[in-house]
Amino acid sequence: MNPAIRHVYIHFPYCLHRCGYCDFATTVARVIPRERYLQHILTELEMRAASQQFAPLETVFFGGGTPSLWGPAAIAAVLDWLNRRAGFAENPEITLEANPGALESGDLAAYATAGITRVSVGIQALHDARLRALDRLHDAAAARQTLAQLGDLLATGRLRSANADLIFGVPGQTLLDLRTDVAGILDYGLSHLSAYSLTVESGTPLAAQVKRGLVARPDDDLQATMLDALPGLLAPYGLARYEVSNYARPGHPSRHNLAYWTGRYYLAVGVGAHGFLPEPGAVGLRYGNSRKHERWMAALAERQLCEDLRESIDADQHHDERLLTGLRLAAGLDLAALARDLGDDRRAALELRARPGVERGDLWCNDGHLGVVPRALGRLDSLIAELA
Amino acid sequence: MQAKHIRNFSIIAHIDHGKSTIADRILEMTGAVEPRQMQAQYLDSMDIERERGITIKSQAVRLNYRAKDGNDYVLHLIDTPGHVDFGYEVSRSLAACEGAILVVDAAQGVEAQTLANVYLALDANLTLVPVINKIDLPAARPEEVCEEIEEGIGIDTREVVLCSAKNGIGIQDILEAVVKTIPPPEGDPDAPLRAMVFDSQYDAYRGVLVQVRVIDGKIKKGDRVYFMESQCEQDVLEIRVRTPKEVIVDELNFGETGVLICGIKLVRDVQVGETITHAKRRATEKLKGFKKVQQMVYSGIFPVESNEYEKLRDAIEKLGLNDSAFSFEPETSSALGFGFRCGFLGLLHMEVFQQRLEREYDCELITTAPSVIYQVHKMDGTMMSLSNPGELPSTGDIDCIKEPIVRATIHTPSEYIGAISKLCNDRRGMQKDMRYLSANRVVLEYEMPLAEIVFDFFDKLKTATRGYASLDYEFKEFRKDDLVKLDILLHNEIVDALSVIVHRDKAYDKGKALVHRLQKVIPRQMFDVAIQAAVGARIISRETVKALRKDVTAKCYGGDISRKRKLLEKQKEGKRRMKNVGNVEVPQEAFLAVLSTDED
Repeated sequence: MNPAIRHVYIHFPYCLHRCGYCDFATTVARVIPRERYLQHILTELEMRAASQQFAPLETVFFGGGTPSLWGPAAIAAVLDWLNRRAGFAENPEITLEANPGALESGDLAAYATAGITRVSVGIQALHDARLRALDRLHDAAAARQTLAQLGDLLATGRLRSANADLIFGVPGQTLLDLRTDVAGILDYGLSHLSAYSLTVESGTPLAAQVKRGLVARPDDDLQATMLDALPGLLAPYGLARYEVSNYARPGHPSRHNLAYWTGRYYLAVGVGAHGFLPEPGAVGLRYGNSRKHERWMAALAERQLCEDLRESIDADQHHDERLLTGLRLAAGLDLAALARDLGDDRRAALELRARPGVERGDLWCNDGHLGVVPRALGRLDSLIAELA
Repeated sequence: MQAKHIRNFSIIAHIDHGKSTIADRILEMTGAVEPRQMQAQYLDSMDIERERGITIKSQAVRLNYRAKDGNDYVLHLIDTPGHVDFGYEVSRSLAACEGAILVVDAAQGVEAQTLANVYLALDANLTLVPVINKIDLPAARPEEVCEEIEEGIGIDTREVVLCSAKNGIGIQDILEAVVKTIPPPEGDPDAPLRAMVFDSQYDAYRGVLVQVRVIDGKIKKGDRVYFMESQCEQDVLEIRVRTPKEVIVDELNFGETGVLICGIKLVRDVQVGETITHAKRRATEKLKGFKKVQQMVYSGIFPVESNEYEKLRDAIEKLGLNDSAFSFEPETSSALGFGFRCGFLGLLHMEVFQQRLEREYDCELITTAPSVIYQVHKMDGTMMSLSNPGELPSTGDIDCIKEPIVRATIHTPSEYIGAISKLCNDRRGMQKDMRYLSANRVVLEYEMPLAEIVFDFFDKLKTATRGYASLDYEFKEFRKDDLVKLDILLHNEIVDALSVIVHRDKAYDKGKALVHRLQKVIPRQMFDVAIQAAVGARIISRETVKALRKDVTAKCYGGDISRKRKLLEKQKEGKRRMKNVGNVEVPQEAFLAVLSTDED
């Protein structure tokens, strides 16, 4: 695989509030050490970049947490550093995650000025009771306000793309509710929607509430129905599914996420960030920084990396990774790319293993791609396990 | 050593009444084991014996004891298995003794196993030394227990020894009673050799270690001996005694116990109860009491992964080397592939064997529900013994099926008689006798089908009596009844490993419960899975596992692909442990679902 790095992920862990279902690396802080965090990010970038070879960057992703709390100046500083070190390709995709409750009016424009080309905002619902059930900080009105700003920035060309995250399959939610949410969001002209079914992740407050019977467990059958219904709900707005949970207008799929899903290398820095870098003698190295905010901060203050995970990925493991991510794509897994990166034998063996699924009508295989038919997407994990 | 200063004895007790602790204290007191080398249940060398607090193999230990009368005695303590499954082994170990210490718990009193063992001891003409253990427990009631021993067992308790093995109280009194009460061995030193085999163990370096008690004559190293049951000759290569450290000796005289090493390869070739004599000067009569071991319970043992069949066979063979009561033969199941049909003395024996396979030989097993052996009388006048319900001939060929009936003895406080009667009636039991041991303790005797006992009867009995009742049983006869084969179908295919033989009156309830339970343990698949119970062609119960509709991770966890890959590996591991039966993935526990159906 080409060892040059074209994708960078920056994690900003701070949130104003931790939502009940969330199991990402987040830190709730009353006072966010924006400047100190920036210095540490730049330190980690320097340390990790030292041994890497870069191509002009195609994508940068500021994820969180709530990186819209960092301020345009910090974002600009990181982008300046990356520009000096690696430079940017033409039309880079530079994404910032934001939350409705965590934006001052005018902020988004300032971020666009700092270099952000794509904003992904955590709307989750446009319904006050459901937002409360999800333990979100904002209400529907705040969500609409943010969506209106995004619509404005898109219309005036100051942002190239915008995404809203939506959670579905919340106990009590109906198909009609889902349609109302989707329409309410896309009426603002967004180019991208990520729709995730509510998942009870172990260790979260939501999991504890479900276990104690305080909250109903999301209903699998309802979620499956909604998953099947979403493409039809989104088609009138010109959005098509390109990944299990992601929909976009033509030309607007997240290039950064696609890099993850097609096995590209990416540099990642920040608390709990996960990266994938070239490594001699292996397909690559996957590392994960500590999710513990204080530990990471203390280590970086000493110019030390702070990892929880460091794993050389061999061909077998990478084969599984490519299945896991590639089969989630509507375009399917690129078998030619798989053969190029891991050898023709693996491609042939995979095609053989896929045969029963294809015959059963769960998988399709043509044009050098292997994919899952839309109506079988809901059983994707089992299908992947069959092939792995 | 003169025979008059030898005492051969064992310790008999109900489980948990303190047999092993008393043995430990005796080893300490006689200086056989240094206190610093002492570990609890010293004589139980297997981990499983220690863990479960039971003795599985017999052991004879030679101890030196200077009694208060000033004489030096040699005591042979023969540690016997302590479970109903091993009743015959117990009887042979007891036959190697002249007496036995009868241990009764000062709080629990006389229990079913106590009695069963006492009867075995009395059958062997042993002199009993009654000992009441745990006298320092707050719940101890030694006077009442004495009364139970006198009334229930009919032995004199004027000389009863009170002790607390845990705290080392009364141990010397026990040894004094052994020396004083138990008679020395009798035998004819000049008669042709007769030695009784009471156990054997397999040793990877020395072959089979044969534990014997010399009844008449003497046996020397280098002797050529003749095994009267197996009708084969062997050379005695070495003789050892355990003190409990092994010591080589030149000979064993009548009345003594020891270990013979004859270069025998298989434990199966040395039967417990066998008589050994000299090849040249043969005894005319075998010792009495020999029985061929009889397996009571059969179960299929299969490797989780079919490519581990060879590994499993090696393990079963090796473990079988040390277990003369175990039998196995290859079995093929359409559901589970190649495996073995294994015979055991009882459920405990089966569980211990399976656990040892898993732990000591690292085998991953799927075991099918245990079955008893049935006698199937066919229309053509022939009879077949059936240990695998899947192999039952078609109904048209069967004249009748006979099942093993046991005589079950239950000891209980009288307040639970009602609960026990109900349980036994549910299990097709017929009450044969009811005797009061004392004002509030009762012995119930039932004739019951063994099949009704092997599943979970003992657990149910314990539950119904808050743990107070105890159970013992022995085979009585094969008896005809209206028995049918209950088949389970998954996705319209019969799963042979799930078939069971049941009484016709119970087929419906059993089928319904089984289907219900399977519906819970079989995970949702890509398609609807029908689970049906059938007797012959008639479906008596049906449930459906609905097809899986949603099984997809919503988020890809950002760039954390490792996490997803680990989830996949876990999922693959889960899949690997399932058996594919007619395209339906069936988890291991489904094959044991037959065991516990009635609580659902």
